[in-house]
Amino acid sequence: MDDRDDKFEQQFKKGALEMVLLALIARRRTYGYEIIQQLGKIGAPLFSSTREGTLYPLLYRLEDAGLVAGELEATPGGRAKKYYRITEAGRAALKRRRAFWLMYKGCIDSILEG
Amino acid sequence: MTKQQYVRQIVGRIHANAGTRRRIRTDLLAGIAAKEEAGLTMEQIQAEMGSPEKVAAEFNASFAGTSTVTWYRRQRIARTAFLVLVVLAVLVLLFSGLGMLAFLAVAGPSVGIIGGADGPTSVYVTGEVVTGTPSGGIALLLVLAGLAILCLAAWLICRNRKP
Repeated sequence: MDDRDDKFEQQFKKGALEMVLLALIARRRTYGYEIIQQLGKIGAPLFSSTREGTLYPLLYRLEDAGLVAGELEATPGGRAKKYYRITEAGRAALKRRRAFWLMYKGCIDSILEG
Repeated sequence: MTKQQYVRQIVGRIHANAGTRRRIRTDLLAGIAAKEEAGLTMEQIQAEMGSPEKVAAEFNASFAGTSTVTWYRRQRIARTAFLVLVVLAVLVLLFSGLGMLAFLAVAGPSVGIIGGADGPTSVYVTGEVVTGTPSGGIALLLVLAGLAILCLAAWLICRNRKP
């Protein structure tokens, strides 16, 4: 794979990861480490290398846009854990993005296979 | 390396304004706490996350082109301008103070020539000499102080500005 292929893949992953995060948080309230673990399991091989430096800036963008809400909670061990839950605006955005994705996928598939 | 040291080294390398850095610091510590709760040791966590340089580079790549970086740059410019103005103000204060002393050293004998001016009169004469001499320095000092206050305000705003 040359550099151009690598950039092409990075751009795709970056664009899709925001939607993937919304989908994961829509399933249930979750926190950063759990998201990284989920991406490692069900997001392999595309998103298994996602780390904090990629995840948190995207979560901030979603949080600042009002699509997810972060809540700091104390654990029984006395530590603070930050949970993310989807908001109503987030559910609506996910619905729109999913519809766009299906349309996009269908269009590209028909071009590539035609 | 303790988790506080590890997180401090990461956050110190991230090109984001202070508000975003605080947010990252809180989230990284919360993330590490979750990993510790899952049974990982600090060594394992660091091995999994990577060196502070690597983690910070990932953050910087993700923030590239966003308003966080813009506020970070503005914050640095405002801070540098503030520090330069403070140094200039101190220099002006120092030199106008020295200038005032030099003036008094030269003007001292002429004050003495007045003669008969003792007690309250001599204080009045000396007061005239002091307030009349460094007025340019005081005006410059006031301008520098005003600009420094503006830069300080800009610095604080940029520090805490949300993207």
